[in-house]
Amino acid sequence: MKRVISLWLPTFQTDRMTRTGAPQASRRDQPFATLAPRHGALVLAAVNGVAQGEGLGPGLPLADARALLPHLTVTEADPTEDARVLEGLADWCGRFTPLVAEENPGDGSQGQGAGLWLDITGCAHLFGGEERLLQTIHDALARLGFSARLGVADTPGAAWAAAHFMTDRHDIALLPEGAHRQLLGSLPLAALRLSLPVIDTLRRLGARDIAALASLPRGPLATRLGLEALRRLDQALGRLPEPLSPRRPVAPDIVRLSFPEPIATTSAVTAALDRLLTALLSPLERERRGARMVELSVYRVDGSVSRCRVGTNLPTRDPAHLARLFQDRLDALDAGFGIEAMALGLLATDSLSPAQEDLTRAALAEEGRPREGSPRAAQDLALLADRLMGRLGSLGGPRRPLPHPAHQPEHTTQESPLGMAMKAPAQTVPAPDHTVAPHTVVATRPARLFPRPLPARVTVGPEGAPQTLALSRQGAPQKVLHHAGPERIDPDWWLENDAPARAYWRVEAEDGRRLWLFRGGTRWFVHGIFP
Amino acid sequence: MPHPPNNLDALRAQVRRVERGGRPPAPVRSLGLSIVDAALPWGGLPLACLHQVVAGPMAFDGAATAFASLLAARLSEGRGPVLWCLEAGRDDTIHAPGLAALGLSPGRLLLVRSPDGAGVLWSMEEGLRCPALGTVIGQVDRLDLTAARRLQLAAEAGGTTGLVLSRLPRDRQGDPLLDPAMDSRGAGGAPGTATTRWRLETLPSHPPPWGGPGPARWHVALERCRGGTPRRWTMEWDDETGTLSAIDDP
Repeated sequence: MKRVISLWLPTFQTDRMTRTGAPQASRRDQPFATLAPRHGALVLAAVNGVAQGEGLGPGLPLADARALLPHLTVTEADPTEDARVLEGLADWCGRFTPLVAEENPGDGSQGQGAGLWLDITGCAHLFGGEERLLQTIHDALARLGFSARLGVADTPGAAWAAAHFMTDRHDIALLPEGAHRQLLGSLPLAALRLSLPVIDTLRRLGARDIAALASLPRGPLATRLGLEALRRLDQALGRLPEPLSPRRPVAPDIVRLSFPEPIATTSAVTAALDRLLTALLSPLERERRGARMVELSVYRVDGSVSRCRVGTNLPTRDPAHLARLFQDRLDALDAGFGIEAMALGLLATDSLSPAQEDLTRAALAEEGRPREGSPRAAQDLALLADRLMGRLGSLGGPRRPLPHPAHQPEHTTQESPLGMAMKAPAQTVPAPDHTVAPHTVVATRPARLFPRPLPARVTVGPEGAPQTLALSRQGAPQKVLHHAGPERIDPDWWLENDAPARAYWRVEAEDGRRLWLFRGGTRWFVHGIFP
Repeated sequence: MPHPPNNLDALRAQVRRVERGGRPPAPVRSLGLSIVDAALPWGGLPLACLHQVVAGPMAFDGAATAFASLLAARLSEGRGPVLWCLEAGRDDTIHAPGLAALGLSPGRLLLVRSPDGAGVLWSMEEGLRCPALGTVIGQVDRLDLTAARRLQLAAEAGGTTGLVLSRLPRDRQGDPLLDPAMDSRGAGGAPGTATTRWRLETLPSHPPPWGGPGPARWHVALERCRGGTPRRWTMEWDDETGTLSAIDDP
């Protein structure tokens, strides 16, 4: 049975400012409002609880507000900062469930406040039951400085109505399963997130609450008002689905650890991470799978969240390997005022067959250096690649420069990552090719090649061969003592470039430097360095 | 009183045992040149430790790169692939077909790029600890004592050989052949960093009868050798036969 929490923060904008200690907003018992320009005049954008109690609301022009409450303090509204803080809060709610969505503004709200949806289907028992969970969230938000009202029901619409209109003195409303139809009936029409014109029309038609709306004939209602009213009614009653799109990708497996006291030391975090890794990886054995990507989320007491992701080239079930990959990142993790919960999510897995497992186990039992090309060597290389990529990013992953068919020398090598070819350890490391002795390779290519050829000043002698060479503007021209060439290399015709064909020369200058020059058109360039 | 030669050798062996700290002696690989093997106290180049190859101050000098590739290929035969660590965009000019002629085939070469110099040292250390690799080459401009010590320990732990490829700063324009005091202290840092330190500079080649540049010729200086004396040679690398030979000095 689906269960959804609607989390309503009625004074979110002003609470945010009070929380950060903005000078005008620091007293909770003083009326305070934020301003926004509308049609050239300043109107109230959001008001805090005290001001609301005195009758102020969003949309009221500033002059009228000042007339009502002379000692009202005001400041400018900051919607971008509001959005950012709300996103942070939504991230923080991820410690209760990964399925958190932000409410679209304008869904019947009064112009201020903010809302979140939390899908807690099936996970309430982890927090001691629904009522306990709602109380926990409410108290945690109060500690962070936000006043909140929560409602839980079978559908988002019903939960929203409960949070806005049915909360008790603890700011909580719990609609038991299946009970929303009866309990919603007596609520006013605003509880369905309908717009004001629609509510007006319905009132004129004689419907003042949800039960009355439900009893009206549907066909003529749709013709008169459009589909919105019926859609919202059906969504609230559960006849129409209202899917929530979570803000972040949801991992298929998540393990969590909450701490009775916030922790802050590296050793404590490492110990917690070890427990989480063991808990996350052991069920994979039954499914014959291994982890490929794992994400750690750290929830701090000040409401902020840090995340850290680690990936491997080969699927693994070894907690020690993943712990080592996390080790570099943990040093950079800031515990702030303390960490109150940690969660580890399994983002990607791959099959890890028993044959592979046996190979790995047998290989790991070997002593000494692994034989070249053996499965253990491949395993060691994969672990090294994981560590290199973990710290250096994908740029740092080891790459093999493999020959690539092309004319232009700068394109004749293509680097392929080590990890891409890895499927099974036995096939990964190609056996070293000792049959081709190195000296049979035609050695007309330099050991170093500049990705962009450097211009050079060359004077030409008979047969077009280079005679003197100056490498830089200031450098004196040197005589070219020996030269070999020309080797004509055409441009890669499949690329759309109209570069001229190049005539390459291997030259040796007076001081012994051996270089690879070419003439493209009328200009000369240095492309590489020979031993 | 004449000392029998056995006592001196036995003493040398004992000193070496003490230096190793009780570990088994590292394997040794010959460079294929008896004159060089004789100059080294181990009879060849020791594996599982750190060596350094320094390039001369001239720009566009390919001798050090070639010598380092030759060493790496020989030292990693039968032990594993070669990991080449460099800084992205800085001397990022490795050309695999050219290295293949020096004995380093593309199938045995792995490249790792780091965003900065510290990353190069870190990736070298990680590679040295991996027993599945044969040699780790790192392009590092300045190697200080701490970093060299870390790399030595990592090489001994993983059984992989380390090669640091450095470059002299450009302002050291002295002629090494005329001024023997002009060694590469500036690049290598204080003595006691690498097990052996080599300095390479390009020399004019001896052209073949049919013209064109001759086989590569280098001035190779063994500047520092733990337990040995500095030496200099002129060496020639013939890419057609794949052999390294020493030319007698005049």
